[in-house]
Amino acid sequence: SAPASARKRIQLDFATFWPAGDFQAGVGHKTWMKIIADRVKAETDYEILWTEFFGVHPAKLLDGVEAGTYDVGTSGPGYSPGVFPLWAGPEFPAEAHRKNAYTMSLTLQALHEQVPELQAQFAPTNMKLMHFWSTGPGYFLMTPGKDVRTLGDFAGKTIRAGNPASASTIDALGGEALFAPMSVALERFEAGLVDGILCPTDTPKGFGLGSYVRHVTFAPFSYHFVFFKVMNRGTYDGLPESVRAIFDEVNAEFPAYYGKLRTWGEADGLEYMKELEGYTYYDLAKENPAEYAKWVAATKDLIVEWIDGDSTKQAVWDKFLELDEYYNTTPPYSTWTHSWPTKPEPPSWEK
Amino acid sequence: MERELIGVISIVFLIVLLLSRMPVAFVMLVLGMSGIAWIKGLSAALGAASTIMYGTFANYALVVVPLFTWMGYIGYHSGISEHLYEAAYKLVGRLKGGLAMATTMACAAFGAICGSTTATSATFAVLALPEMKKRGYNHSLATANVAASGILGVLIPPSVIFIVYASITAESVAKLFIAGIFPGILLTLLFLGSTYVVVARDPKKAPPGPLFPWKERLKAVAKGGIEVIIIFVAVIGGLLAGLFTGTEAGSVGCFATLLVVLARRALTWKGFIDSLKDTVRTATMVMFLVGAAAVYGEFLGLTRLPMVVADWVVALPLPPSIIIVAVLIILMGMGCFVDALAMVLLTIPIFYPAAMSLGFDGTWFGVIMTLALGMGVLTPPVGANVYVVYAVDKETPVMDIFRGVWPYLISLWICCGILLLFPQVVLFLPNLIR
Amino acid sequence: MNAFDKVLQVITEKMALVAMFAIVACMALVVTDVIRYQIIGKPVPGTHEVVELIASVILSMGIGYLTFVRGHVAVGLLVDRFRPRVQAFFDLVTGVISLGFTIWLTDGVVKMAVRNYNYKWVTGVLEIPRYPFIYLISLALAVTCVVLLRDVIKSVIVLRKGGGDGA
Ligand code: NA
Ligand code: NA
Repeated sequence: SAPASARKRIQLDFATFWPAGDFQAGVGHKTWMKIIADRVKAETDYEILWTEFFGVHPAKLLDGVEAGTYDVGTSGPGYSPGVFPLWAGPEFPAEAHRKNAYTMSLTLQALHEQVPELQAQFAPTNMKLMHFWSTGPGYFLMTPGKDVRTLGDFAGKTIRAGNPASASTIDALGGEALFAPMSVALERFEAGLVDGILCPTDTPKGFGLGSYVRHVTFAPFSYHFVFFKVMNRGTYDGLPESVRAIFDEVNAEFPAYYGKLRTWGEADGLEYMKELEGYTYYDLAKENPAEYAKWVAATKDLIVEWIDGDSTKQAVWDKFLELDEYYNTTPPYSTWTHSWPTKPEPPSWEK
Repeated sequence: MERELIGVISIVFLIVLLLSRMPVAFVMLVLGMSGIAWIKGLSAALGAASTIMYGTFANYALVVVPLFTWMGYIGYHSGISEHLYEAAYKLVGRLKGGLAMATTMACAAFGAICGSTTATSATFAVLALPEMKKRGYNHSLATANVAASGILGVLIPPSVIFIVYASITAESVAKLFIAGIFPGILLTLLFLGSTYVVVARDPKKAPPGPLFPWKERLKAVAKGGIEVIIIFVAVIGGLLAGLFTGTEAGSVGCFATLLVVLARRALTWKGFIDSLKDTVRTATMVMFLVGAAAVYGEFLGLTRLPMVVADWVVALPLPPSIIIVAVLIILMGMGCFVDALAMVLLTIPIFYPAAMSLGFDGTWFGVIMTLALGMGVLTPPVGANVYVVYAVDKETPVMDIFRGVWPYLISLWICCGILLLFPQVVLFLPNLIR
Repeated sequence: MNAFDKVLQVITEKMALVAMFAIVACMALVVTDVIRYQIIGKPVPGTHEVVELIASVILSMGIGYLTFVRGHVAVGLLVDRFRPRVQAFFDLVTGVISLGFTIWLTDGVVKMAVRNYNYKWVTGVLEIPRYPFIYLISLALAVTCVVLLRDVIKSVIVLRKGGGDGA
């Protein structure tokens, strides 16, 4: 590779909605940028300089990448309703495995790769997909005294949902869904107008929800949330071929790494919650299988309503279940476990 | 070219264009779009500007700006402000400097229903100035007092400035509102003190007003106070009790104000329409400015200048409190030349991260920024409140008003000093709720 | 010029009327929402997204009016001291710059509306399309461009006549 003086610089702006202190940005995104920058430096005559923007509003983010204000950004299909309609399906509740963020990330990246109709949703946009990843299973995180352990407990409780599938799930369970951005939800938590949230367990630490929620009910059937990382298409097309190749290779590795990292982060968030006064944990499927079956039954028709006889939607859903089965039951994917709490550091990247 | 340097160049252009009498909002829009175009290309600049403008206009947190503005205008067009002034006038008008003190007190009370500093000043310029002049008040003192007392409108909740600050920094509006109460009362007392000192040194400046019997005084206080107390308790009480959020308080406040004035049959149809018309003009002006500043802020973010400055400030071998004093001096210097709201919008992206890295509380810093804005609206040559007062009362030359302002500026500095030494004044109430 | 002014006045005032109505609608919606969730525990679904859309109506419909009545803040400190013709020169230059960038921004907002239409980007709960509101903003900006054009023409008139109505 060339000496520093002969190198051609490529300046790229990376934007994400996670706050800088959250592991997803502080460890995950920084690692991705560093791996790419290191490899570009080692293998080509170019040099990449990243500028990072954290805590950017999700809606502004997608527009920003689209317009080219940011070169790379993170978002999720749930943040721009209507733009990726087929992606709403896989986020619906079902008795899928949804073991952890690692198996889910592999599942959803494979789903995208194997269903051309899902890929086609990026065609009208000005965005080049880098890769997908996912949260782990869902938890109901409730404020003090508002624990949910039976269907009856949902009556009169307002619970924040992060995507349309979660909103209808909460309604079907008998609760009142507040489908609103995190900023609106936080304001309502502060005023005591929300009783809980359906999400993974990293949010109490990463988004400051720890000031409000105490009771945890594990409900893996209910939820996961899909994320993607995209690059402005013009930026991508303008990159030298050797640099593009490095992006492609690194991106192929990252659903797995982000999945592992998120699995750790969600466990780390739960450890953080355990220190909070009044903390309780309830594994519904284990403690009361009959009740768990009732919850699943109450929500099983939601996906049928979404599919509504559409063969493409049906195909997306069937493929999702098939891949969920595969990655959650086939070693080495199914047997991978995260290092918490014996090793509190986040898993480091290795090829 | 290094991006940071592009940021510095833009600041030079900012000053040049501002001095050429280009509207501040257009200056920031033009520089923001040009700067993004320079760094990221034309289509990126266009995309950024349009999405940011839409994002600012269709913004849940900022919709309260028109609502809290409307609340104040309903108060004005229905005579609430008049009743307040009459109450304060009858209560303390007898004292030396009493009419000026009455104006300050009425502004503080009006601040409980009005979210804008210029609207507060404009309202009392209409009500209080003729009375003070009739009684032989020194014009410079009278006008400066009205201009300064308007600041209480944004320190005492509700406050448009706190809302804008919260929307940029993701601090809690509810906390900022509650945090503003004690500093608002403190600043009211300090302003009363300023007037007292000025009059004590030169009693001719403010001859006493008429004496009213206690019965009449109490009646006026009851009449003027009751409306504001009902509205304030409904809005801030509801906020504290968790009946609604800080964002919803704007709508609830307007509704409560309408109910009160309708119950007293104090608002005509014309007054209602006028209040809305005034609101559209003021709120659009503020929000267009906020949107344009957001475009310029986006550009500054791309230049990394704010991060560089914040890192540099934090690395200074000085105690944090000295750095905050330096920040205040910079803000006051800027506030002389730049419109105060624009200044707050421009500097939050730079100073807020710095203040956070130094370990200051975000709510506390919001109150400090608001006080800095208060200095900005009073200092020459660009002092919005002074011009608002001048627009109402063309008799007193602008420079005479500016000349009368310094005792109130000293009060603002003392207030900042007290908040720096005793942050509890700001944080006591919000912490109580937490 | 006067007829042109008159037409602009009528248009911007009509738009301001829409904004005034939107303010009242916003208040009514939020108050209804608060009352509903406090009393019967059921909020009005999608309130926050409708409020956002109403806010975009309030502000876009107000811009033309604001510009027409010259409600923007400007720093007159230096230019105010000059002779009317010199003032008109400054106003002409800054007016042309403002006009140019506002036309450019209008184009950007139209493009954004088209993009949103193609994507079918909707709000989360009620699935209201975003693009009509973005078109509305572009319309308001277009009216603002016309008002800015009026200001530029007025500066030119002052420059040519050399005094009088110093815009
Ligand atoms: Na106020
Ligand atoms: Na000033």
